[in-house]
Amino acid sequence: MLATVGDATTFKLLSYGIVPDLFIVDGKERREKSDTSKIFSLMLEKNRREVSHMHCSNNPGSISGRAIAVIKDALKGPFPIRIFVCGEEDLLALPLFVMAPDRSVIIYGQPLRGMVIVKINEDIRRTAKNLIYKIRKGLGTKTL
Amino acid sequence: MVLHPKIIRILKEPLGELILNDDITKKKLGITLEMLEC
Repeated sequence: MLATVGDATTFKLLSYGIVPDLFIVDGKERREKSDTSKIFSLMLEKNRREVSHMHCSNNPGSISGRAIAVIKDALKGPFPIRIFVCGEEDLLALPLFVMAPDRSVIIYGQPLRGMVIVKINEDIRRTAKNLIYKIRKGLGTKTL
Repeated sequence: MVLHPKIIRILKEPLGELILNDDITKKKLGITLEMLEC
């Protein structure tokens, strides 16, 4: 399974004619609103793929239970599936690392640097679980 | 809610193979995905 997280990363793959099985976007690029929905639709049309749509909300700097549930559901397919996140999708690569089947490939953007390609194995799953635990328990947050 | 600087530092480090913006091409991406048997 191939999945992408982020508008710019997904846009890049679609522009190369590669349609991810699952892509998670929030309609923003580097926190700036971008009207990517229409572009995605055109590109998918060009690639002759029909996509299912799901959505969830997820606050910035958090990983909501609802987002986790939607990703879990999306992983059952049938693909391709687009998850639109109301809020911010940046941290949702982490639950994807945990729940995606072995040997899946997840691609996410590293702002101003490039894109990161992750092949799912037990090591990355463990790292992601640890980070999710800290973030969700508030151990990884501070209040302003 | 703001992430703790320690978590931000961890997340700033790529958790996988980083392909730099200047190096991203359709060919490079295709080869990488092929190598990963994707």
